[in-house]
Amino acid sequence: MAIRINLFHEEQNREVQRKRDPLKLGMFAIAFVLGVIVLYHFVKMAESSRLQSQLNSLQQEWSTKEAEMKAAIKAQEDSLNAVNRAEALKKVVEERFLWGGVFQVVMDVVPLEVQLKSFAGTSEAQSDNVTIILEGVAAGNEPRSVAENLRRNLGEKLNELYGTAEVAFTLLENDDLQVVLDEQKLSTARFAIRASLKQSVKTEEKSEAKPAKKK
Amino acid sequence: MSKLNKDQIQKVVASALMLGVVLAGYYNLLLSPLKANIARMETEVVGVEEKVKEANTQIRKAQGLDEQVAQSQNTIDLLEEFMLDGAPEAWFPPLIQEFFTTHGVKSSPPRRIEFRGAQDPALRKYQSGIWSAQFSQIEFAQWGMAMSALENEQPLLRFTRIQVELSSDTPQFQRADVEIYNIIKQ
Repeated sequence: MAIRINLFHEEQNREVQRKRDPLKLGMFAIAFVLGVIVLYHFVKMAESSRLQSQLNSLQQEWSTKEAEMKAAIKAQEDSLNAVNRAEALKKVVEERFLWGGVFQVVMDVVPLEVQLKSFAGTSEAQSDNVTIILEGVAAGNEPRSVAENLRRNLGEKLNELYGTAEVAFTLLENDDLQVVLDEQKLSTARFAIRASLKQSVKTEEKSEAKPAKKK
Repeated sequence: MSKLNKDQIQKVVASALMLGVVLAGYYNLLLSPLKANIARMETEVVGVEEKVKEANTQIRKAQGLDEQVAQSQNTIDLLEEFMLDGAPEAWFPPLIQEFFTTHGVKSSPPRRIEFRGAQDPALRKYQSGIWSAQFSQIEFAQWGMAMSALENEQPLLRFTRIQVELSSDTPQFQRADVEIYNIIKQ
């Protein structure tokens, strides 16, 4: 085996040492870390910039929408007021008690043998109670039955019209007075009839009937 | 790898310290405010997005009411035609008197009993008028038909009290006293 003498070993050792210089390697590592940090910072700055522009455009949109929304809220309030007002007015119209039917019933059921002295009716604006009071004189061989027929007929007719009507005598008594009707002398009885109605009963029935009609 | 000499060790330590200082400075002075800024903007973006979404919903809701409002306004306009302008005492009594006269019933003009604010808050634009009307000589059937016609023609009017009695002077006629309730403008 031939002996080879490396005359450059010192030079090579220096080269290796220069390459493995820890100081230099440390500097490279620091530079790398700083590079990563700078890159990370740029990414964050880009994210911040993107968010800023998104926020700006949203705020611009909001500034126009805010005025529209305020106008819409005001319009909605006005609209709801109008809707509620219309509903309340309709309720006033639909829930009032109409007396035409009662007048017709009274004219239909009062027979020739009965003379009404007074008719009184009340329908409170804030409640659905209706009261009717009829006072008069019934004439006949049996004047009390004449008055009772009037009460019964009145009750039937009012029930047909208004659903639940309670019709009762508050007074029924024979009178000394005698009258002549169709050349017949008849005895008389004084009476007072009170009828109580609930106007809402018929209104509710009507409103329940409406959807059924649509079907 | 050769061992570090003292000078090199000092340099490495100094560099590491410098790196630490730079990193701490970067974190405190640049990265931390940047992150805080990003977090704030993210929160703001979410907030503004919600506000815009809410505004859109509100606008759509208001637009959706348009048709209903038009119908309601028609109803209001229609019914307000029965409430004339001006003081109710000026137009209501003559209106009622004229109505009964055209139906062949003699009456005096209704007198005002009182005006009250409407109880229903939705009707705060209006008030209730309560009037008293007297009929000194009526024939019940004809008068009853006139009353029915009046309540049919005036939808905001109702009779709250009716009293009919035989007339003592002329037994073939009756006299009546009626309380009228109606809705009028404030």
